[in-house]
Amino acid sequence: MQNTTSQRYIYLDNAATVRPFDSVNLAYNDAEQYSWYNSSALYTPSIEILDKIEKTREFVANNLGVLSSEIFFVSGATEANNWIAQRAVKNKNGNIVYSCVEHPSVINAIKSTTCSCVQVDITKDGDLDWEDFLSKLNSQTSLVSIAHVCGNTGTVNDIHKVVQMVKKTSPKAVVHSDGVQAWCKWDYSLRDLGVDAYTVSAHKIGGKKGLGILYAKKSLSLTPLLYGGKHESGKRAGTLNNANILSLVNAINEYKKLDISHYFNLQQLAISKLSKLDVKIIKGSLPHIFMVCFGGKRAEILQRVFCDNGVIVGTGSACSSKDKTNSVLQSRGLEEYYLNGAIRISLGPHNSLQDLEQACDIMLKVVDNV
Amino acid sequence: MSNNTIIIRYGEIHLKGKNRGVFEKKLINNIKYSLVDITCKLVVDRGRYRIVDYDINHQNQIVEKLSKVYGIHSISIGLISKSDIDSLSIACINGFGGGSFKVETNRADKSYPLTSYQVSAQVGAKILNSCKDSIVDIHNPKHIFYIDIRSNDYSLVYTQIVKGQGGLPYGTAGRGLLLLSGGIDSPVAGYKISKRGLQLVAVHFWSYPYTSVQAKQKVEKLTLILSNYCPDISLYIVNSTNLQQAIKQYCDDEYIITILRRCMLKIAKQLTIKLNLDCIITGESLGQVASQTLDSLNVSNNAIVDIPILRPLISMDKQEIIEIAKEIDTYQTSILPYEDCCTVFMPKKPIIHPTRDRAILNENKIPNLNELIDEAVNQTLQTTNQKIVKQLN
Repeated sequence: MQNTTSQRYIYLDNAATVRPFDSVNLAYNDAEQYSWYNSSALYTPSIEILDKIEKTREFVANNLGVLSSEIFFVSGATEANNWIAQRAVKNKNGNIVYSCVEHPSVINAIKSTTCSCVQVDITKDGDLDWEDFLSKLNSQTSLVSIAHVCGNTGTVNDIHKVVQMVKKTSPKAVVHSDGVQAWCKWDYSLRDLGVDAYTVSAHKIGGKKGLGILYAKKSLSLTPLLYGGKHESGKRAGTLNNANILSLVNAINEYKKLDISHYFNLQQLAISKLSKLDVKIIKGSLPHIFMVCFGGKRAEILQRVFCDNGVIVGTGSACSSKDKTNSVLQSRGLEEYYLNGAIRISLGPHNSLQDLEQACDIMLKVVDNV
Repeated sequence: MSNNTIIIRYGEIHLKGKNRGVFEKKLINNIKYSLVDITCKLVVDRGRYRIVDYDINHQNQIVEKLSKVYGIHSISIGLISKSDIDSLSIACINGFGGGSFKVETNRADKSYPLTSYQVSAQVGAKILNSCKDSIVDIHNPKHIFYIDIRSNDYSLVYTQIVKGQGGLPYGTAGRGLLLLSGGIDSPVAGYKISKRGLQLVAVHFWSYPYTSVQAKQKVEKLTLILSNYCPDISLYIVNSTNLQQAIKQYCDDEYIITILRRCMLKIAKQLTIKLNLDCIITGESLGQVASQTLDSLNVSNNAIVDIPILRPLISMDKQEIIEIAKEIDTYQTSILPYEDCCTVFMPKKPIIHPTRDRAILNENKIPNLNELIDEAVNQTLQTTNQKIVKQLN
């Protein structure tokens, strides 16, 4: 059967996953066909593959502004976040500070440790509540994990400032940032941000699912989460997924082709069209992700009806869309009348202006049926 | 030929008189159907059936399947033996690792030269002699050897009695329409009533897009689980969206649920007639929620008078229902978070003591209620119903 999913729908849930680029699929299929050897074996084809993998690691390291020895390929962002929570915390009596916009793979991973976990609120504007943040740091703080970009609203957290504050008050603390929704959306260097650890994921930029990357600063003492063979400098056992890794460079290059102004144009179009309705828009400084909150509607019903009419949108962050309430939106002071009807629009490299215009027209047309 | 056998005893059928044959025949068919994908043979004795000629690796699987067949009182895994003391002793000793034990003998064949007690004593002595670390304890033994002397030629020896479902063979008590919501109660209601032999057809009221595709899939899954007990159960999906919208639009807020339930029963009644069924089954339990008070049940009942509504859970506590749901494996599916009725259609405060007059008054406010009901029924019957019957090899 012909897979028509991506053809039939206008897909506006790119924060959940981005359709793999054609060039990524080509590179992937090529690798599956020809570069399927075990990359840790010692014969020629394996050596050649490992060489390509190391070149990819080098490429990713350059992209993030760090050393290639600080880049680890893992199964996904969830593993990377768990790894940090479980294995980077040395002071078991200290506290772990995280923000209320974190992904469940951060929150649930740190809650599984013996440390006490304290949550930092956000302000009504969506920024980190710096006063609250500072009050929760102390000299015994062992880990701070703050997402680079909020997966609901596109708000960018000032990670540089986070690092500065933590280093002053809690010199022993490890600073981690989940950069899944930030990666490749603009240029930044992890060295400049100053974080000790950083998580990204391939499928959020049009790469393949099942590949995450953890940056761990050289000086960070990180023990393995998974034991086994000596892969990844002995830090992460498991045969590498050649095809996922070898198709990653294509994803990075393709994703970065589009300038951020393209996304600003798309966002502006959507907001100007949808504002004709009884909606509240919650957005941050990054145009890729924003919430449209329909007054007096139910988000999951809107989602079904929009989908039936050819437009896919999100409700909250897809991984946590089963949670009943959206704490980020509550923190931003949204009243219940709008809260229940909050859908997430997240834009991706495959969305054109025409797509968005058509999607908004469809939403405008069918919203009254709900 | 192996001498392994699985012994099946039936329960309540014993009480049947002249029509016992009807029940036995159905039970035999149901047993054969449950084991259709396993190579084995069913031997029919009077009041007792046995499975023979099976691969020993399938033994537990056979017991598992039989333990879900209604009408079976208990099941034992045993050995076929000759009836002399030596053969019986060997059958007992086979696989016995020692410990405290006793022997219980029953003679169906009264012409057997020894009494039951004598058989137990003699076999017991042989076990004691040949197994180190064994000791007789007739009050609190770790192992009981049951010897069933059927004739001079053959006996059955077994050690364990697995409880069966009990009840009456599926399909001996007529056919009913089960209202399946997707919650905890209705699958249990279906289980309880089908255990009395009632054959089931299930119906689910679905209000897409107000309830999700997952909510429908959940009910399909529950039907599949029920098919372990009710092999031929099928599921009809009624699209109730238009109906629910009309009720929401025209009726008093507090009467929304009352009217919806009356309409569901009216639809169920039509389906019952058209599908040639005999009754309607619901999972209601007295006083559990506002729509299950005596007044609410009364007002629902009034919507259809000439078809019996069976409520097997009427006197059960929620906890008792949950325990059965866990036993029959529907619980984990039932508690999946997909609503069977959208909160959009929930009144802020549902009425606890509705009256028939106000219900009818409210129904009359909906201009095209009868058409909506007919439309729902016709649509349901036009869509091919999904037979949730296990794939047969």
